[in-house]
Amino acid sequence: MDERIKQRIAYALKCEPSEVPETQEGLRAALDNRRSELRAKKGVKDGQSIHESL
Amino acid sequence: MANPYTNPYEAVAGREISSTSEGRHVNIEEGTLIHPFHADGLVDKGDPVAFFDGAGVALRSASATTDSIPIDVEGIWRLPVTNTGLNAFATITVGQVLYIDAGGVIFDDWTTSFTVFGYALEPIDDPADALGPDFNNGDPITKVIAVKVHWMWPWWYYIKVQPWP
Repeated sequence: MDERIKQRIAYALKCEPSEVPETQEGLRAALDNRRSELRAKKGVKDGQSIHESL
Repeated sequence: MANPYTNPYEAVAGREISSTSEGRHVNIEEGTLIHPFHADGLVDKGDPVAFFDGAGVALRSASATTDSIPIDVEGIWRLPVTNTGLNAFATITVGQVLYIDAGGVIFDDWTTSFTVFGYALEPIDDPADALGPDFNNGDPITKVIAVKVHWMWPWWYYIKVQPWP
């Protein structure tokens, strides 16, 4: 995987570029896990940014 | 096949590559495309795709990673869109910005995305509040909706040089 692509995915996963999964299945699972974490933390209502609570 | 735009015999400044008034279809090597996962690992016709800041819809299927794939970077397409409920409003509203992730999923929240994909032209309920046919027990809702595709820069990647922790 191209290093710059890996850096972008690392940003989305909040991990080091070296920790980005190389397989499609691993990447899908990592993205789903990251979103599950965010959903669990979300305690905001309409008009309030989730990112203020993270 | 190498980059379809690289041609040392045609490298003349001011020479138009697309037809006049065109340019919404670009040709990108399959190996550089982010697209939904498939058993053969190659992009399929109709897939939403991303290529660094760029995004669009594949106009043909690939048979190898070296294939040059025409991508429509504008237009209105019916595509599967997932509302995770993570966006600021929880719902997806007509006109709301959509993103594509590194697995080729079009969805609502920029924090886990790869780049901007376009704009929703049909709504999707908040997963937490969804009733009736959209009821999904709080889990993300995926529906095929009309999407205005648009190639736009993902501003958040350009705010920090080294964004990861």
